[in-house]
Amino acid sequence: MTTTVVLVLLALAGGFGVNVVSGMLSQEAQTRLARLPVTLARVARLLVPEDQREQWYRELIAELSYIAKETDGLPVTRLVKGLAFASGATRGAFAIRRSDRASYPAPTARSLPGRWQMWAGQYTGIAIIIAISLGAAQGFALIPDRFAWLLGLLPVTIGIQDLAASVRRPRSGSSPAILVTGLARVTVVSIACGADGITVYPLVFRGSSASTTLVILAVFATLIALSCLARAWLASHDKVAAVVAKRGPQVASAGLIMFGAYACYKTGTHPNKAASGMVAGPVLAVGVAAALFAATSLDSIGILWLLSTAPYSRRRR
Amino acid sequence: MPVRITLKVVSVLSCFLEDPQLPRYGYELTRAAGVSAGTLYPILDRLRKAGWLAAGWEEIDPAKAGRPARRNYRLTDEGLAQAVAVVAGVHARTGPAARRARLPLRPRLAAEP
Repeated sequence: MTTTVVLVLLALAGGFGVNVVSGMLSQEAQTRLARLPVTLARVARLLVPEDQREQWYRELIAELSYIAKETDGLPVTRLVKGLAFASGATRGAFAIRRSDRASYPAPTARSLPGRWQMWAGQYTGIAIIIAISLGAAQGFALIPDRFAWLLGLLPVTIGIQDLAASVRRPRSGSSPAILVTGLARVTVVSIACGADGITVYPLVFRGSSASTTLVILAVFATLIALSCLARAWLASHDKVAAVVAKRGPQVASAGLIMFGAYACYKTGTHPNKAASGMVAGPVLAVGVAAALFAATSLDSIGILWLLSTAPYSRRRR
Repeated sequence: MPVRITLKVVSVLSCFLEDPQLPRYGYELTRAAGVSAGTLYPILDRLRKAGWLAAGWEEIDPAKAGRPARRNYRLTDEGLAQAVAVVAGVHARTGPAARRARLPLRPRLAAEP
């Protein structure tokens, strides 16, 4: 009898404790989510030129506070509006930074990235993209086979959008707008250039066996090394580099459209094989991944060449 | 300093022209002009550096209002003249008379320095 009472009391206490803790966790999650726009504002602050940072941050926080007041009692609306505004402002900060060339010091030997930083930054950036793609592939594997072909529409859409933008406003093949210095910035540029690949790599990894995945990763590692060597070669061939910088985004966009269309065809016409992946067999998977990486790496090669100083690169031959 | 005029810049200038004396705020302009903050702030930065806009801060008591003062933007005299010319130029090239005359939207709506 005593044991039963004790067990009941323990169960009640445990249930109460679980409720309290889950309530606390929920409140913690809500508070942290609500602070996301402010975190983005802090990132945006670091992107603008140094003399504008405090003013920029003060302005963003004031606008976010106004949005919070306007959406009082509507936490989801507040989060959505706050995030939309803060993420837009972050993109705007980046654009302002690019346009403010005068705030950047002239490059010196110490400020430019060394070879090891270029190599390490590229590998780190691509490793992050691959990690995200592998995670996304696990999620894609849950999608029913008959709807798998829809996944191919995403890279097609992004590729068409990027191609239209690059044709309307082609990238200039000269005069870098900002300076890339240090391992962290090379990594960020690599991620930014290769991020479109996230729409296609999960489709390649989806349903691939462990051995196929390892082979694809080995191919990527080899291609990164080749792209680093190509960039070093381009450093002393400015005319070729300028063409690559100008046409790189268009090649990458065309690659996305082709592979997205191929993914739609492959998974749409072979629904029974969709579970085994977008490509039948490791050889084709390697070929598809390698060709896509080569297309998107042209863009990163071009932009990293643009963002280093061409005259200095010539001296670094 | 020449300002590159795009349709989004024209949308932002039109918002200012609705009441040239009224100071406008960033978030409010994104809704009024129908542009994202990522598009708006570089436009405001370019217009401010070109001398078309002057920036200031909202005159409120943060303790009473329960929020900090926001940054506002207002057309300068030069900005007002340029904005009127730019928006009038767009209306001239896109209005019914222009459509009847089949005027092309090009040449570009670039403002002369």
